[in-house]
Amino acid sequence: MQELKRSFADLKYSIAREKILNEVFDQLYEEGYDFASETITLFHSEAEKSLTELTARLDQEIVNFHMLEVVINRLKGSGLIIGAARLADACLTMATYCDASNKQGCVVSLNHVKEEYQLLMSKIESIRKLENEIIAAGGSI
Amino acid sequence: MASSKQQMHVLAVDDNSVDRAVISRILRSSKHKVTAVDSAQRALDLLGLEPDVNMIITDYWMPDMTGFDLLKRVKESSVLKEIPVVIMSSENVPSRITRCLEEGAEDFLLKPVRPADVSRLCTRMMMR
Repeated sequence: MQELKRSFADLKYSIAREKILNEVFDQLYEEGYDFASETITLFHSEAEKSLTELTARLDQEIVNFHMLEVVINRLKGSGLIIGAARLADACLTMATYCDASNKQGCVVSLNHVKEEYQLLMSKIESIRKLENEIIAAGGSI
Repeated sequence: MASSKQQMHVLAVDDNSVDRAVISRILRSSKHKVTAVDSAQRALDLLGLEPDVNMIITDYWMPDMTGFDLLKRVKESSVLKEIPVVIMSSENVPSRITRCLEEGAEDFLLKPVRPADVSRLCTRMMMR
């Protein structure tokens, strides 16, 4: 158990140091483990939908930059809710390109948003895995 | 009014489902009744039907009609204008905040909204 908790603490520390998730993520848990878990799941499904929509919109002959900006701001908002600071920053960069109707800038920044999202989800997966192991071993989060 | 109500009916307006879920959860855990809608238009439709809403909390940035537009519509209505409206935004833009407050917003909260912000707000509302 000590081993697990130490791994958990190390993981959280490295994630915070890389600024992938900030203190807002921990604050989710203050409302209860179930609430944090539900919010993260909701974020995940909302983010997947947003990323699919962003990709589809940028693929179009004529890009509707206003709608693109609406969707990227929505993703940014979702990211902020769970403390995904780097993802939110990447979204902000893309929003700037949308505002300037810069297609190339949007394409490049969307790729960056996707990279940050993949990184974020892999870290969240690692956190969840360790949380489940701790709970299975009789501990609590 | 002689006694303060313990439970409020709050109308939460946000096009982002994650935000809606979080704000609803925070309000419900303080025992308030929450109706959550995904657009300002839906909020207006509901306000036309259910006049027992004690507070509106709305995101600023929404497609079609913004939270600011919703605020203006509420304040222009003789039926709705007494309902306090709180605006939420993830962007700290001083001119935007001032404009909302001048238009009659009760408060302006920066996202992500913390449980403490919301309970402070509700306490203030219930003391009116």
